[in-house]
Amino acid sequence: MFVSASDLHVLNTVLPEETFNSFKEYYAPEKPVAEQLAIYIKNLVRFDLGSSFYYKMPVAEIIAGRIGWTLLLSFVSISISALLGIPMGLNAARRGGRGGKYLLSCFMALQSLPVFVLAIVFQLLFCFKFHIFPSGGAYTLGMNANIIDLSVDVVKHSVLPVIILVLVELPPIFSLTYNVCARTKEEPYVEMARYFNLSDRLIKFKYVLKNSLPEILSKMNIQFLYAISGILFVEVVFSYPGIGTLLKVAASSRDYPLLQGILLITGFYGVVINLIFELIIKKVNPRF
Amino acid sequence: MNILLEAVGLNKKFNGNTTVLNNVCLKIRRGGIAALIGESGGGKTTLCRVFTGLEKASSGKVLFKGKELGTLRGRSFDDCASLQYIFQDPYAALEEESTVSSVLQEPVNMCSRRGRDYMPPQEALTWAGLAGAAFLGRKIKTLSGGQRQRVSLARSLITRPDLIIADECTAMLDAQAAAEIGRIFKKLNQKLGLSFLIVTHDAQFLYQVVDYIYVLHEGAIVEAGPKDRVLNIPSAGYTREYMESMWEIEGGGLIEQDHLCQPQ
Amino acid sequence: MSKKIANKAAWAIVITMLSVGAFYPFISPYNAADFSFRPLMDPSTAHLLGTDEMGHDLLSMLLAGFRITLTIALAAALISTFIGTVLAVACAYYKNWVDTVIVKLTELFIIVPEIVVLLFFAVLAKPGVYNTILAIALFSWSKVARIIRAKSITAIEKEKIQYTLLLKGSIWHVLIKMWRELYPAVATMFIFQCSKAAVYESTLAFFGIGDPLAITWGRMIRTALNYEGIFTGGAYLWYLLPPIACVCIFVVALSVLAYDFERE
Repeated sequence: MFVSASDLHVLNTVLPEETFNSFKEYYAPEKPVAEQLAIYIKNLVRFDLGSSFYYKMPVAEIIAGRIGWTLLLSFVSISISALLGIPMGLNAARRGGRGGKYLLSCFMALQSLPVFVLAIVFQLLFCFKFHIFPSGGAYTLGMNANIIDLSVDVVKHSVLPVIILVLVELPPIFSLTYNVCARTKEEPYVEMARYFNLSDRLIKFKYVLKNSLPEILSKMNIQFLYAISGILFVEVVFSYPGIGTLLKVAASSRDYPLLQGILLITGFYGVVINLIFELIIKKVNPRF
Repeated sequence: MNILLEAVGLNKKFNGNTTVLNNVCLKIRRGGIAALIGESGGGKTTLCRVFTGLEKASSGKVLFKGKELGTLRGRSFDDCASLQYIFQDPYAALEEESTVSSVLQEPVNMCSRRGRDYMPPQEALTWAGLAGAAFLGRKIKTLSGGQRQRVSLARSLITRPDLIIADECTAMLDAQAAAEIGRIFKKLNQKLGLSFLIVTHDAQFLYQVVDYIYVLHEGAIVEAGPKDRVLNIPSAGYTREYMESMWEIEGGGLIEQDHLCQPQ
Repeated sequence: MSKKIANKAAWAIVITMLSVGAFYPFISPYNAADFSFRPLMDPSTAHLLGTDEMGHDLLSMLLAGFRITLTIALAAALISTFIGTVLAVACAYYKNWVDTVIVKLTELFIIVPEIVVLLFFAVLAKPGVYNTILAIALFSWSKVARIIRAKSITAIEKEKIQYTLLLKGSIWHVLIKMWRELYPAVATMFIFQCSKAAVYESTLAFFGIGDPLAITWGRMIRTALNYEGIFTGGAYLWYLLPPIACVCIFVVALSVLAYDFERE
């Protein structure tokens, strides 16, 4: 952990003295900056992210315990959004007309709303008014059941967060696909295929989608990187035990080492997503 | 011989291997009007941009008044002010919505900020053949192409330059407006002793305005000399080809123009 | 036709909200800081939105929220748009390593979401309205810089701006000269940044960071959610939904405006 003396000064005013002292001992802010940095990097290599004030546990351990839930939410929601968004965008672009544009502007409005507000409204409607889904957590606490019941329970808890995340992640994927495909549709080779009276299906998949896919994929990684912040907020509203809820605790208790650990792990997540997309793009189109 | 601008072994490569300028050496003397001719894509514009500093040569150097000129960032304001550039497209070089006076105010402000003597806008406009105070209040978008190009010229005159480089500044004008620009160049050259380097395809310019001609072919100077010699007894093979093609295209018109323009 | 109506409605909403923010002391029924009323009253003619668990009049709080939330949004958007624009023009003006460093910085904000970085630094700073504005402004310029950079790089190649470069104009001269080219994009980005700043402000308040004394919509949402009985009775109708509706209406109206600007 890398902390300057002035940062510590700020913390001094907000932390209880006991935690402050142990903190000071661990991070040794009186040493020169270069030495602190060396210690920090040495710890980082050993996956030592310091220890949390609030939980009084190593940060790496806390994050390792929580990250599974966040990854579950993110991969499920991202897969659903991509599987829905790309065909929707493709179809809207192929049909042309006002339908796609109308959907586009609705999605624009949806996209600009704060994610947590959307989550609160959904929670209010489906958990507290209609009692369709459980209002929070990832599973029912203290449930002693077999593996099937447990999985059903986990799925039931994750339905609402996933729906909200899909609502947030779908619009950018839809508009990206729509725009790219609408452009590809005007290309001469697609016009030519239409001239040869090839079937609509063939044109759609073989000509429009195949040629648009590399561009869509090369821009989609950005959408997924943006999605991570949405996941964090949805978790907070549904008290889902992932990184987001951890972030809320860390922020409100000013748990500086934990915050820094979360910052690092989200950065790491971003780098990994980038790498995965690079691999996929290479597979789909070796030219890129 | 008083040399104003000198290029010493200029090379320019794009993307590592496309050669645009190939060991260009030339000297432009003070008080003359020099023309640079050659085929499109032959490196004329690149050479001008290297002179002005907008582009960096891969190797070689540019000497101005005996002093080496670096890239734009390394030049002093005085060097920039005494080497002025007129753009090809008069519609792109001036802000449509501005007035003539605000266009001319820019170099005035730059000069007075850096303590350089400048020509009053009114005087510059008169030199450029746009007399009348009413002109200062006109919007650029209400001017014709020829008028715009003359405003550009007036803007260049304000910094009291020694050399004006004009890159095909008449290419987008009609013959009459082009001839007018040529007459103004000649007048500035004779009365103010201003030197010019003109890139042109215009036969009329070559015959009536220019003193010296440099022929650029595939990035290299293939011929250089006084106008009469180069035009009448071209020595390089390329220059002969160029002259022939020019006569083929513009031959008929050239004689007509001569007749029309003689009585001044 | 419907597009025009949407645009007009969006303008009307934004202007109304801004004037409520400006003049709320004249329309507010009580002082927002006054908690002398009976707590948890249902809406009545005396208290149109009832009172909270502390005894504040909720309508007065909501109206006070207009001023602080909108001030934060406008100020943060103004600063971040300014930072982003200047950095973008610096990319186009200095090129080379300055460009590389700024582009790398904006890429960093794609990999680590702005809001996470923002939360991190907001926790470190002393809570207060000014620090909230600064934190939002300092960490939300990356999109402005990315978009304006693309515009600046095309604009600086235009001949009218190259002229300023040739006269050794500073980055400010170039920025002023380019303003006409950049203005539509900068205006769009400013509106976009307003909406983003409002979202970030409410998010910070939702996370319990920011000025604990300033009455903002985000803070109202948080206190409503902290109140345990919020979902059991009808309290959410007049306690939780009004601030949520305000944030949503403001943000959607702005995105309609930004979308229209972008298309023009």
